[in-house]
Amino acid sequence: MTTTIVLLQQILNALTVGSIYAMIAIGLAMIYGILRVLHIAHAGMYAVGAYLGLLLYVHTRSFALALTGAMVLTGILGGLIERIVYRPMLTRPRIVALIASIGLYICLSDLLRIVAGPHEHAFDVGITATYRLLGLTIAGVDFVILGGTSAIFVLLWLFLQRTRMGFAIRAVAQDPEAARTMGIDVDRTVQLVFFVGSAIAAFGGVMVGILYNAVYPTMGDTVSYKGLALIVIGGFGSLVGSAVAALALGIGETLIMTYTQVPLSREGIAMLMLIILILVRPQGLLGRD
Amino acid sequence: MLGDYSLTIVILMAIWVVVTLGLNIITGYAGQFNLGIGIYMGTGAYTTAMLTTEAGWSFWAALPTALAAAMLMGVITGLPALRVREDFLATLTIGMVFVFESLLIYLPWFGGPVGIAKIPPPRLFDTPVGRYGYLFLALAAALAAVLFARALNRSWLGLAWESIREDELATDVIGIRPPRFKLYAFALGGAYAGLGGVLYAHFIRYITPYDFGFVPSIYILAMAVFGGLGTIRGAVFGAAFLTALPELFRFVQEYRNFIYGSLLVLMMLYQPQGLLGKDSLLWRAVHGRRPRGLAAPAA
Repeated sequence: MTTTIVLLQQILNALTVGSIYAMIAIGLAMIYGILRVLHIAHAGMYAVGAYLGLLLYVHTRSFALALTGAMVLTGILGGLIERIVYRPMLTRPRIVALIASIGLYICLSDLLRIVAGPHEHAFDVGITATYRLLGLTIAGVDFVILGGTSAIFVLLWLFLQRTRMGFAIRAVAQDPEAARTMGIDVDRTVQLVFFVGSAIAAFGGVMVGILYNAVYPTMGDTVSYKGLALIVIGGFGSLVGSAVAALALGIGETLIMTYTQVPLSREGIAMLMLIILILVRPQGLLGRD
Repeated sequence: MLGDYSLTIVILMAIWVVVTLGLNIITGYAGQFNLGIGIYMGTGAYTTAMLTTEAGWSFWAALPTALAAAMLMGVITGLPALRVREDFLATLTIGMVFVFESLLIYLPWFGGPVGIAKIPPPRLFDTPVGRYGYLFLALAAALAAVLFARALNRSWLGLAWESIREDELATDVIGIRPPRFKLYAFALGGAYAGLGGVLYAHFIRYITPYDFGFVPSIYILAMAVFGGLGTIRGAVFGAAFLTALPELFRFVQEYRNFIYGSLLVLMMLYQPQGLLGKDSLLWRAVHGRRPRGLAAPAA
């Protein structure tokens, strides 16, 4: 009985972590789907989002305002990065954008260190309540995270499936040339994807900040590479695939860490799953071709 | 004469030149993305460190073993890499370098996160080589590395690599099997990085898993890209310049990642061939040649 409760508790924690991974992976998958660029700097967006959220929270004392503000500002930054960094590189060989993206990432996280200092900042929004349900302990923060990420999923799905802009995004992802001939502004659409993806990453960043009550410059490190693992596992460019992969990774990691003696860190386990999957199924879990 | 400090910088420059030349073979010549060059450097460094501290081998006996180990690691990581290309290959090598670092930390034999200390300096005629001796050793290794890379590039191997880099399918069609030559590139590039790792281990005399993780691998990529991927002069210049830069300017050391990162982005935006790469502005100016169209960087 107690072991099942321990297991359930672990799975609950894993779901919280997994849904945060999903917030990173979705943006990455959208960007890969539309530009075919591995946007490693995306994890930088996530850290920037967390810092902006904290900054706004300290000044406004309103969590809702801080969250929205961080999402909008990070989204704008993402759009700018697309315009300034990636757009001129698209006609060049693939390695050019990839290297630029790595450079951008280490540059961004160092910038955070320079501006805000290398130490951790506490991000306490005062959600301290815990609930007990069927023997499980659920923190209020877990509720906020699980509810928030589910809401983001639903909103994103509605946006992509039910609005004209979402329709344009899907069209460009399928075939930019054909979309252009249909009168869709491809550049604007790509920029919109960067805006939305970065805003979602900022949401993930703020959530991680309040979950661990800490914001620090290198917080993007582990998720940036895990994010890559996730979009590969999910099938490059597949949103549902990467969300499923994110939850699976959260659960897989936690269970392996708890119940086995594998001599690897959490990152090591994620990366090992990635390597095995690339070798066994290079098109990803739900990838088509 | 050179002071102790400048001596250290020159030795480090020589070491990074060797490692960067290794990455240049894999990514520059054969066109295979590799964001985990630290794996091979680490394999060389850890092999020699363990052999000389725990097994009591001499530097000279451990050196060939360490090179062989790094080469073997090149083949081991190269085999799965044959299945994938471009973005997948890049992601795969990132995954590999994380697993490698993680194994070094968590497996019981490698000294865990604190690594291995008290690595002895090389001995020659029963006396440890001094700092000048080491300078000579490192420079000799770098020179040998440059000459060997030059010979490789001009041999049939170099031709096969260039052909794979430019058009893999066509290479296969004319009867040159890309997997074989890709593996050669991984093995030789691995041995180069392994040699760099050996020199690093016996110079710093203290190694940790973090010296060979993802971020150091990116530093090496930055060196190769900054100088000009696919050229020896680029690798040498990039490695020497980017090693000296943080040492010469204090503020560069403080903001090392920021500056390296911005350099990578700016180079990719305005001069993806690298400063001295084929058809780069500077190299054209030196040679007074007209541009040969918008040539892509070698990759």
